[in-house]
Amino acid sequence: MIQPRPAPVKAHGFRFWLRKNLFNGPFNTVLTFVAAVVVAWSLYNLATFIFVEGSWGQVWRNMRLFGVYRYPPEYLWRPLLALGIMLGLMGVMAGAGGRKSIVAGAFLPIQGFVAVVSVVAILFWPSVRFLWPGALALGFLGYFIGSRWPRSIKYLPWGWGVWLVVGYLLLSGLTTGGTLGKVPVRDWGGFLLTLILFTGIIPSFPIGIALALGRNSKLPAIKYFCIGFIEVVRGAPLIMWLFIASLLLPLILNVDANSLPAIMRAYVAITLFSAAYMAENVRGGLQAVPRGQGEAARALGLSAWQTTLLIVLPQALRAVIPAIVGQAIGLFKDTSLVFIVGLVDFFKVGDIVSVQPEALLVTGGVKLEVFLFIAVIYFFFAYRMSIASRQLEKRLGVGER
Amino acid sequence: MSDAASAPAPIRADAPPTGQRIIEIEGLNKWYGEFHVLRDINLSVNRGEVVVVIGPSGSGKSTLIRCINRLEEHQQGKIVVDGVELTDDVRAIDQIRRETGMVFQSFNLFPHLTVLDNITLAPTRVRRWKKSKAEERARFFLEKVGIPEQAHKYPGQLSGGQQQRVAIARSLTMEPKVMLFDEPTSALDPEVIGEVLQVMVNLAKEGMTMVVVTHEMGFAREVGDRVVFMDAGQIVEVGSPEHFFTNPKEARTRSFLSKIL
Amino acid sequence: MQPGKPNVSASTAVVPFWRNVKIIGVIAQFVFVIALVAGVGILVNNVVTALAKANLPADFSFLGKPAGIPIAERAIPYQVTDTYARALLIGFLNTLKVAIVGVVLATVIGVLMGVMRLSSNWLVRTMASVYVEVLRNIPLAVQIVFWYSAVLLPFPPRISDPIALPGGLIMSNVGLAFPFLYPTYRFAVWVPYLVAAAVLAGVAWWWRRRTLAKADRVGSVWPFPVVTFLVVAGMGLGLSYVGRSVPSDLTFTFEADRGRGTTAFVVDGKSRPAAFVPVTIEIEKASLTVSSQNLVESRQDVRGSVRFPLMRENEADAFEFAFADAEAAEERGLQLSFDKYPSVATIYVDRNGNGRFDAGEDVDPATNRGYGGVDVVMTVTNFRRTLVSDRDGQVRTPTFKHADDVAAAAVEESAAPRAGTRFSAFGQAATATVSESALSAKTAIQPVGALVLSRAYVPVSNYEGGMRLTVNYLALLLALVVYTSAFIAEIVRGGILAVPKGQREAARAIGLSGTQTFSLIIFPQAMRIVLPPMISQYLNLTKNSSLASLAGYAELFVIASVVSNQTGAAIPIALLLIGSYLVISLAFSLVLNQVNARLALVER
Repeated sequence: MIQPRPAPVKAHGFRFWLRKNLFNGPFNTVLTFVAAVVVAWSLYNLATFIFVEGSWGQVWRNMRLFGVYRYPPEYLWRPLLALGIMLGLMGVMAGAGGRKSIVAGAFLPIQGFVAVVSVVAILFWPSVRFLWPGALALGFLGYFIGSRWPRSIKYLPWGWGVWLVVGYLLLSGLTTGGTLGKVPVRDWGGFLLTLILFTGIIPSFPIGIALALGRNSKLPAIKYFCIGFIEVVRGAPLIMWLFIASLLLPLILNVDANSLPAIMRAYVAITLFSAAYMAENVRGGLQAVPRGQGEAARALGLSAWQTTLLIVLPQALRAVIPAIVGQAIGLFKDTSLVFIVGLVDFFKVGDIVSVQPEALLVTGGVKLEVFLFIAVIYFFFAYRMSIASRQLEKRLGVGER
Repeated sequence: MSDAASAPAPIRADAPPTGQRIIEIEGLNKWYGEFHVLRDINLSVNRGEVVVVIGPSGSGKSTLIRCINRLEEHQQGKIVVDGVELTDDVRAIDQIRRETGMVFQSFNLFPHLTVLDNITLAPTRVRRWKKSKAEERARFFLEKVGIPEQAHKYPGQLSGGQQQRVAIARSLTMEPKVMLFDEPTSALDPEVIGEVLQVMVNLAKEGMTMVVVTHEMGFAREVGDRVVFMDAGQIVEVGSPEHFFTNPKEARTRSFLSKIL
Repeated sequence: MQPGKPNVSASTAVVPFWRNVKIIGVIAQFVFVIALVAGVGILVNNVVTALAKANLPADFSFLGKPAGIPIAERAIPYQVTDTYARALLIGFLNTLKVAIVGVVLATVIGVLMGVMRLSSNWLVRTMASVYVEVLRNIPLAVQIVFWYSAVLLPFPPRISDPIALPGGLIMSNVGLAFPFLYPTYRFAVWVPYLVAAAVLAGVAWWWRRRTLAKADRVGSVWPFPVVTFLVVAGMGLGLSYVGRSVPSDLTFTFEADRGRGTTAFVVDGKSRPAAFVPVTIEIEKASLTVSSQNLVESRQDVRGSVRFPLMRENEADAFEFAFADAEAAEERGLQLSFDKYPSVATIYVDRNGNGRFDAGEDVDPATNRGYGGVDVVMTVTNFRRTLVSDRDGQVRTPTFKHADDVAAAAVEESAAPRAGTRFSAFGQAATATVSESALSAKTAIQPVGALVLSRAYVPVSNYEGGMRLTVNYLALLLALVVYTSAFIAEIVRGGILAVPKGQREAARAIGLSGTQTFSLIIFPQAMRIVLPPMISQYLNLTKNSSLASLAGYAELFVIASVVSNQTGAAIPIALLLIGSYLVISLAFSLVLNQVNARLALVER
């Protein structure tokens, strides 16, 4: 019998890598040089702009506007406390799931971001000097609790429920004046508003699932209603729905236009829009579940509802988690469209900041700086989510046969 | 726990006496669109009997047993299972499904649940057993099918033969009066077919009423009380295995057997 | 139940309806429909009462009223007095205009990037990955603003100093203009040939297919009709240039000192504008006075900049430049340094006496600003330009003035050659002649064929001639193209990776080269996987064009929202918008279904 022998040594090292990846053949060598010139030119221009030409003062001076827009500075502790609680809850999930879990993959970068902001706050922003590090600390506290007592994750749904209520009360306030003075909804803005609108994906979940199930229903009335809703909503762009919602919602609900703040109109539009896309994603998942699964459940005596909720939906949703994360990224970017209904979200603050009198003094304006900053922030969060989605995809692919 | 090799333990303490009819099918007809899949089927199954249904593919065997627990709806005729007629009545459908177990060609285990959860799901949700009782029974049947150690694994981690045995245990835990087998070994590798058939043989010996659609002629000959041969949506011939395999009456039966034996 | 008794007749009792599966379904639908109708009824009722209360229109009658909306960008004729319906139609056409061009460009760039992402070259691969990741993770709204206000608006050369690119392209912060072929009044000559070409192409196609089928041969069919068409149509086009002459009723009137002209057909004293007529204009001697300006452009100050309309050096025999107030200029020591001869110059004072313009010499130490507000006179000798009139028969030239004695005197005084000016034309002796006060020009109408190439030029402060794309359109187009191409790149990459490995192996095994394997085996199969998601990206691009307001481009949604604000007709406008987008979506899904059906057929 022939004994196994070690494989011959593979060529490696830097020079081998270069030859394999950059200079294998004349065509590739030329390509490398062309690409190198393009890269060098782009990097040079970018660096020159960022470090030499750019005038970043306008961005730096208006950080509070970017963060919360007109939210009263004396109440800044309230959104930051809400953020801290959120980080704490995420921390518990991340801690319980372990460092390598998906939640941790989302939580740790956010903590990193908050940590950077905290350092900046300690150095430069006296009014929130302790608040940002406080939020950071709450996050780590949650992480500690989660990793120390993983069973605490059982109470988390309650925690999130409480957070929704408390968070809303913190933001809107309770009393006229005082520590918990009311802040009108129209003063919410900046990145805070972007995040609030982003939560529209949460209610879109159950609606989307209901629509998807309805679309698969055998009952024609329900089926065609769901098809109609999904296709009409998906057929037109979000910006149009936002516009229509802002015009028509007060009419449709027969309420005074002033009693329905623009945020709520936008929220309704975003939720329903997102639900239609969610429905299509979920439907994809439902189609991926083999017919035999439902048949086996029915043969065991489970009712139609039990079959759907216990057998079909869990499998369908698991199959489409990456698609749903993709949709979340899309929604996160799409929140920037609320400018059409007069809301001032993170993106719109850029417009305001770049036409302030100080901005107009700068030669050539500061639009490039302002929107570069905005782009970087959006990119950070969206890219982070897309990395998480890719990890999920890999994990789910490996997990099931 | 009881040993499968020793005297077989009764699967249900209240198992009724054998001999009386548990499934009664009269004048059954079914169409898929314009295609007449089941034509005037008359068949009855007695308690404790093992009926093996054989026939070429597309002959309607699977459709027949899928009609018995209403995975397929029949258009004409009458199906009565354990005294309950299968109609559009939700209550009748639910009751019949509770009392019949079914084993599929493709196992159809729920991949997102562990083996134990797969088995206890229906007893806790449909029979409203306590979790502890359901788990106890689940472990009993897992032992019976010979894989007690796999309770906490996921279906994806098991071999095909193991999966099918879990599927059998899952059905048995509901304590059905009838077991329907829809080509249970067709999707299995040749070397594991034996282990599944052995479980079925033991089940038959313990007195379970079984309707088995299969291509395993050995099983039909050894275990079957009656063999039903179907072709083109009709029952062509019914008889005991000896009669069937040695001296079939019908020409179609003879030609079918000559091809596969 | 008692043992021994046959139980066939067990339950034949009538099933109560609430337990009957079929009836339950019907009832559920019935309840659902009733709830739906009731809900919708309440909402509609709300809307109707609210509309009545606010006295807002709820029907489409407003569509026939004059809109009064100025729209700069339009594919069909439009005036402010036209109806709302026409304004909306223009919006719809503008949506199509940006969507169709966008789809083509996004596909090209997207496919390129997708292939690059799979390149074996690390640098290329990484570059493409960065492109994709950056662009698809930044909101489109941000990208549109970025292209519009950060890249295109501050585009360094303003319209007074545009960049002339090779191929007759002109780029400035007003937009892009380029030469374009337009049909002339003689287009009709060509039409019979075009019809004949189409018919013959059809015949060629049919004949080739029949021949192939008869001979039972495999061969490509398409070259035959295509070549036939090109040959016949080309012949017709060529013939339209033979024996051409200017029709006697075609006139060209030109007011040289206003820089305006009109080409028209005059029949029985009535004149009708003649579109796309080439004319030549020659002006023996003329001058043009421009004030220097201190400008801020993008990130730099442009000090004491003199900007004459864009001209090419060969458009005149000589260009001469002089300060209008030569004495004062002499006193201050002002000189001209050309950035772009003969159009753009900077005023400076040669303080270090080296005869050249050096950094800092364009700043007046007294005011610490540039030399703005200084009049400079350009005198051209034998200026000539060939122009093509536009759709309305209009032609524009720089508004030259007669080279009168003021200019002549100024030229004479500054005639002595100066060291240090870059261009010799500056120092040429001028021969000023005082003639009649009105500027006169020699004009001629050129004969044409079926098509005429119209060049873009900048007579005063905007583009004329050629095809013009506004900066708004460009910003939206660029943003949409770049954004969508990132998604298309991912789809293409996924499609190529989804082609089974065995295909590559089989191709290599039958001896195809790497490039052949890719272009003949992998790519065609990948395209099949890629097409359906790609079409949905096209739809996304079209829908995303509704963000046009960020770039100031007037597409459907922008015009609709303006109309809605003006008329208060929220409901009809909402219905119109939803309807239009549904039509677009349906059109795309129709294409998608066709593609899917075709692919399914090919698969068989």
